[in-house]
Amino acid sequence: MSSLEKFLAGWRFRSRRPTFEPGAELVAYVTDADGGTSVLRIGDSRLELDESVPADTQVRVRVTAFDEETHRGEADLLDVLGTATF
Amino acid sequence: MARRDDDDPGDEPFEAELAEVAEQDEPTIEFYGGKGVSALPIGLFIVWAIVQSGLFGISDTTGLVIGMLLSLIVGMLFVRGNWKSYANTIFEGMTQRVAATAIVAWLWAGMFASTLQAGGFVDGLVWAASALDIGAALFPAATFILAALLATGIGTGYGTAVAFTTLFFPAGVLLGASPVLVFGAILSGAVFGDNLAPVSDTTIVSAVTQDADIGGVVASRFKYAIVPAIIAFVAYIVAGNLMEGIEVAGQAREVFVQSANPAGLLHLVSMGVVIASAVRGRHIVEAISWGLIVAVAFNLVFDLAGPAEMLLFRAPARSGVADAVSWLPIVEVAGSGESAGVAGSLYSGAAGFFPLIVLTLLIVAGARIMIRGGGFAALQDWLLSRVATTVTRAETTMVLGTAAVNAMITINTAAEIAIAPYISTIGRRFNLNGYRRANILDANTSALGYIFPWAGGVLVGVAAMQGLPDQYAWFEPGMMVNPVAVVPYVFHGWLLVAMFLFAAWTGFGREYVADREAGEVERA
Repeated sequence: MSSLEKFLAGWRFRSRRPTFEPGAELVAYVTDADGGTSVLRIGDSRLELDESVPADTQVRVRVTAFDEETHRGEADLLDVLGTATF
Repeated sequence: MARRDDDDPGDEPFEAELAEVAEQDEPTIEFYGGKGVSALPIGLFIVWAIVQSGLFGISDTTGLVIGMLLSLIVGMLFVRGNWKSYANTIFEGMTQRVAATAIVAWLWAGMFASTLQAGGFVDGLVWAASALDIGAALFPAATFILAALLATGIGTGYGTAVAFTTLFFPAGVLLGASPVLVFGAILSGAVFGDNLAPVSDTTIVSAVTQDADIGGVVASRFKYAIVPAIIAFVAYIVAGNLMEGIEVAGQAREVFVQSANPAGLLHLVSMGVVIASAVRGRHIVEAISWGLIVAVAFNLVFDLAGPAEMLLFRAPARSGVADAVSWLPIVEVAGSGESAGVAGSLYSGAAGFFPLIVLTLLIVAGARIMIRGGGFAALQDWLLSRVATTVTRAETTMVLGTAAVNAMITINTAAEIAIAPYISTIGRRFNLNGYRRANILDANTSALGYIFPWAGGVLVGVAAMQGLPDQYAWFEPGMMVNPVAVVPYVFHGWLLVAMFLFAAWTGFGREYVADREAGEVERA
């Protein structure tokens, strides 16, 4: 990303319920790990993970399904990148 | 951010990584009275900070260090069982990379800022104001811009408040500008620079605590800073035309003529080198080092500051070696009544951060105890289940929480470090990326540090104002601004808070981790 692009990034109104295409790969933090199901809450959208991972772990996932009506979806764990320390 | 790249294909997928993650999250300290008592060290410190700075009006960072030390001792008395794990957690907290990164960046920023001041950057801005020859109505707006430039260059809003209150404030009064408006414009400029400058202590804290690189934070912050700044600029023009000043016999030029020096503006280049290098992705140590080299070169080549003003060894008379090399411009032998020591902008700039460095290490240790004791998770669960239940409410909580803590604690960097773990956790729970979290944290820290009468930025400005009657025969004590009166006129401060409430409610500038991963602390 160039310096100019860094200054121009984010000049927009971002939805509180982002949508994801099946097949998309993304990095995010696991936000909830209750009831054996790990969830990535991205804004007010939720992706359920296929494996149990503690909260605050940063993971790389692939979206397998996403319902644009309910803003809920499912994702497969691809990699565990680390954990937040602060 | 702890990372693991090694993967044994014979193991269960991610087993080793997940085991490590689980181990890091496990609470290891038990307290009498439950998990909430682990918040005692940080909680007592916040009370100490409010009493010391808010109620007594003592802006002494070393005083806060003592407060945090005693708070850590009191917390230990409530540990169930062996105190060793508590003591070890203090070390564990202090050795986190987040503290080390902030410390290194502060030391470099301190040397740079002090060297810019030694090189007469303020004198250059004074010359610019004098050359523009503006009238009373436009003076507050021009003061805002020039103070913002100084604060963005030297990163210290407090230094800006002192320098501008000493020079621009009396000039504005003589011109017939409204004193309270000029003071408000000075504080607004200080807010702007404290918020945006890559060498600002609060910018550094906001970036490193939210896992973001400083250059990227500055670039992403620009959109939030510039919109309120433009509105504030227009507001100062409008208010400058509506609000009347005091009639004083004298010429504003007389105040300026003593210190105006156009060559000081060369340091706009030094400042630009740091900002451009940091935004281009250079490590902050590298970016500031380049800026420092340019600043020192300008000081020497254009005679803005001599070598001894930047570094001086003042040796005792008994030192034969020093006597032999006293022809060097950075060595002198102490005269009678002078104490030996090292001096200069490099020395004072770095040394000025020492108390804050120690305080930071202790606060980070206190935060670690709260994490290990389970109090942090308990408070976080409460916040997330009751208050920050949607991303909009989470961001609003982050804005108002940061503003409230900074409104109570005079020294805004200390307040910022104390609230940073909550901002990080709440924001991460909605996958807000590091830039967004850092921007929410720093804007409200910077703004609230210069608005209320007990805020550190206002206090140093008022202290500088109290010296004006001794400096100028025409300046009467009645011309000084009551710190309560300036509260509504710190336009940029108020607008910055409003900007972030607007951003939280509308999603302006919002970025998720998945949108753009913030650079890591490793890259600072």
